[in-house]
Amino acid sequence: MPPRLLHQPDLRLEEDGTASRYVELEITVGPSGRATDASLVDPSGDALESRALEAVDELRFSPARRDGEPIAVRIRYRVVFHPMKVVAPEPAPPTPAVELEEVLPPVASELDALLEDESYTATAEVERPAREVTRHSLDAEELQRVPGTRGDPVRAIEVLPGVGRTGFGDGAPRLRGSAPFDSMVLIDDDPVPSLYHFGGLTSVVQPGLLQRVDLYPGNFSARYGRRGGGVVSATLRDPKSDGFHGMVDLNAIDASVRAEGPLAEGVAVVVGARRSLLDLYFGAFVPEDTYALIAAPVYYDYQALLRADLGDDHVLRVSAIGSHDSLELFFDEPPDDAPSISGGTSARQAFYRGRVSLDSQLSPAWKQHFSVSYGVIDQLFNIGGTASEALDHRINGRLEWMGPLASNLRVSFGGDFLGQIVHGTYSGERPPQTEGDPTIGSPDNGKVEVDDLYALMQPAAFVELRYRPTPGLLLQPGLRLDYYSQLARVSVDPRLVARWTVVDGTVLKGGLGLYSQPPVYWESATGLGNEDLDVSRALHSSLGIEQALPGRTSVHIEGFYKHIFDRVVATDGGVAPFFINDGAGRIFGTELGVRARPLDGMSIYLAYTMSRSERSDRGAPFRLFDEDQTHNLSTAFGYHWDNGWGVGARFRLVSGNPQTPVVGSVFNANVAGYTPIFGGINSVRASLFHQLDLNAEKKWSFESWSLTAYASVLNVYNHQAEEGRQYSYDYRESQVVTGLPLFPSLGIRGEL
Amino acid sequence: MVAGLLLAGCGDPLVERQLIVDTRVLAVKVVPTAEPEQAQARPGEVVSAEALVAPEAPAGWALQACVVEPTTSGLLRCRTSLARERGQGVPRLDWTMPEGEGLRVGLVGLVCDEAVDDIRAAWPNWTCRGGKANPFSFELNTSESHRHPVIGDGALRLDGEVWNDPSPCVAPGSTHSIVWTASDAELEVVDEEREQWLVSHFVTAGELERPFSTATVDDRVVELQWVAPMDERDTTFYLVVRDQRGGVAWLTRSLCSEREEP
Repeated sequence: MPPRLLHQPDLRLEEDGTASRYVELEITVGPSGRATDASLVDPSGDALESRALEAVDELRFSPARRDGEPIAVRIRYRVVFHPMKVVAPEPAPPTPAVELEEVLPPVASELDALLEDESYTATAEVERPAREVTRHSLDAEELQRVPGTRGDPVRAIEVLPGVGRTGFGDGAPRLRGSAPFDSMVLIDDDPVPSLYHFGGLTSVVQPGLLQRVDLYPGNFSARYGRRGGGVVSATLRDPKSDGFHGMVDLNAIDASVRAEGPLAEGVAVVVGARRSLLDLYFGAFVPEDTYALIAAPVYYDYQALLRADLGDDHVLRVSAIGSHDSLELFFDEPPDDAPSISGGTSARQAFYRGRVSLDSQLSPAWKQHFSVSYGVIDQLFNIGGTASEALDHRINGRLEWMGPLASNLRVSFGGDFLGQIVHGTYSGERPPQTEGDPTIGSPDNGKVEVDDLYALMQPAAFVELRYRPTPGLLLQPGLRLDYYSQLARVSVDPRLVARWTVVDGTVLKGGLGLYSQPPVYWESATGLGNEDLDVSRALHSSLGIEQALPGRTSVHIEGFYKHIFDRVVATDGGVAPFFINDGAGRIFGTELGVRARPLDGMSIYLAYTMSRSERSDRGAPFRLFDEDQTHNLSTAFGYHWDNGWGVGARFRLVSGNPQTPVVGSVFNANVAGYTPIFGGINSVRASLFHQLDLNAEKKWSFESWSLTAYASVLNVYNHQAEEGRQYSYDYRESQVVTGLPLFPSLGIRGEL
Repeated sequence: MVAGLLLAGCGDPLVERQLIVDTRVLAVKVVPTAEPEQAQARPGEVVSAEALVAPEAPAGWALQACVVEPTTSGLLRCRTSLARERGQGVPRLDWTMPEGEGLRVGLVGLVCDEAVDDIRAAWPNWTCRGGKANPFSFELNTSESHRHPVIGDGALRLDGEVWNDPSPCVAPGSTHSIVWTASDAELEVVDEEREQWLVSHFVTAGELERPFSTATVDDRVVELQWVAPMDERDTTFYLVVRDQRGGVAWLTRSLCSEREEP
């Protein structure tokens, strides 16, 4: 028996008239009768689409049943919008004035056919209504196909506007000219220390477990705080409940497995794990006499998630995720160019986290979200005379309510919490400021030794209104209060976002808001930094337009300006108190984003960002930020045929990163090394970066399983991109350090 | 961070550090004149500094001892001058350590292929008259009482034989082993562990396998391979030992490479 509509929200067109309009969606109606996992059948960028998607939360059904038992089904709906006021001669429609028109197949036999079709029972994309000026959401399934990402949806954010190129060996997001640490990486709303494993080739969650990746390059919601840059938020998908499924993937970089299925009525679980294979052949790429013993980079990650429907109105999710990276190198003798590095070097970064969340429907219109997680971040870094190790216990919590205050006013409010207990040791040179200091690594910065145990609490409260004075205008004021126990300070961040649908398909948008960020640990730690530091602040502003075009094409153009003040910088001369809030920054630019699906199976992405990111230290004139990328062009093309073949290409063209030239050197007789004398900070640039990536795949579908073979080639024409500069021992000569060479990869994946 | 790890030690050095082809400062040693085995310079003491310059004593040099202050550039910056001289030959400077707790004292200098030109500007912007300018610096250890390392008589061997002057001659292109063994008794205890010495070694000709070694209580032997130059010429070998706390010792040896008479 198909589901039956019980409750629908009140929606109207903003204009009077005689004609109704509709938006067609696919939704999943769960055993509880709630609608989830909505996606647009034929997205056009029309402003009505986001309103239709918003309405899904408030739908209530009598669930579909098989043999009398409620089951989840995937169905299509047509959301019909009637005019604000009917001016035609015929009488106004009966109450409710706006109807959600169900377009279920009319007979049960057709519904059964849908239920047996895996494509209708799989979890699909959820395109939530925008809460921010700019939110780019990635359909994980589609973006696994973006070339150059090795099927990793998280890496696919690089084809979106406002996202800078990450350096080789790194993967931290560079959003709108912000420093990597200024942006936050979340998995299921909980911060994690890194987005990628060592080398930046692979994200810390296996792709098939991601439901969605959201990117907020600026002006993000009051739900998020403690960062002045942007947010990358990855959301794990729910386990499949329609039967048992499995996946095995093997490629040149790593191997992964996944299994999932229902445990009981309304309860399903998914578990997955992955391990790198790099250590099997890493040694072949390292010069024979460089290291005496090599423990090659090794990473692994794992995820487990259980979803349980507790009655009609509560969904419990319990998850555990973990990631571990390690690398060890041992030198026979000190390297020629780094006499202070003796013995070897090692690094480890791991995090483990368990999380419980409960989503409750308090009433037909009000929802509550609660989550709490506990995790450990384990980090070790040891190179030459610098050694640091930290064990960071973290508790994150979030409690949030959402619902309407009036027909055109919704509110979300609540709080979140971060508690940390950290035991860390550090021995090495006094840490420099995080950016704009070319003397990083200088043997003359002074040595310190710290063994510290500290605890901090950072509770926050936020409220956000969604007010529609007219159906086409959305005003979203927000306020966030954060407390930082380590600083004994409170920050108050007001924020405002506005979206105005000028005409169908055209949205003007803008935002203005304040964002506060506490210092990184060592900047305010006893013995290393200044305990009296204040938070740094950033003012985000942006103004843009979204335009829907024919051919399922949308264009996004946005200008932004970000001003950073009270930025933490080192003191002049590096003397006590070592760090002060005497830096500033300014970032301005324009983004262009185009997403198009002109044909079924074809997807095109184009992103171009032109920006300038500058910093000022201690009142000095503004200079370029370390990772300013004035021009950043990224485009991707993908096409998939019905017969299982698919191809894709990605091309990137990015300004080279700024560099600080070395104009001389001094022999430091204490350490038998040379200290460089630098010219103007970031006064020259590396050469232009460009890279073409290709991929192809073929999927064979069988009765109950499928097999996919895939191949990708990164840096097809083997461009020797300049990632840095290597100097002779006395800095009198130099040569370019190049990034990733041509990198082919083959893989095979079986899915049940 | 990871990129740094992966790149550390990778790539061929642009210039072989261990091969001396032009004027270079290799080490600076400061000793209290009353107690020359001490590496600590105490307030009120008269100290003497000397720089080891290769391949030969410079035609011009300038030295300045001063109370220094830290900088973010990693370079020493003189706050108060204690002594300053310029000259020719082996760079040497004597001065009296200032009184006062916690003062940082450093030696800054310049060696020139020809003559020193102008030292009125703040170091390291001193200039040479022609040729390459080689600025250098050394910060004294004023807080930690300890001895300079000792290289030891007979501790250096060439092809298994004790290597003392007068030096032997070897065949051009021939391969030789150079072995130096640190004295167990000289490795002092620091923070309840035996100190580690950084050993640097250089030649003016031929191919020496690497510029640095370490000597620890568990591995006191430094073994090197040296290939003599293909032409007939004299070669100077330099060995510098640092305890990484301001203590320094060095020695030089020379040898010739010449073809045997048929």
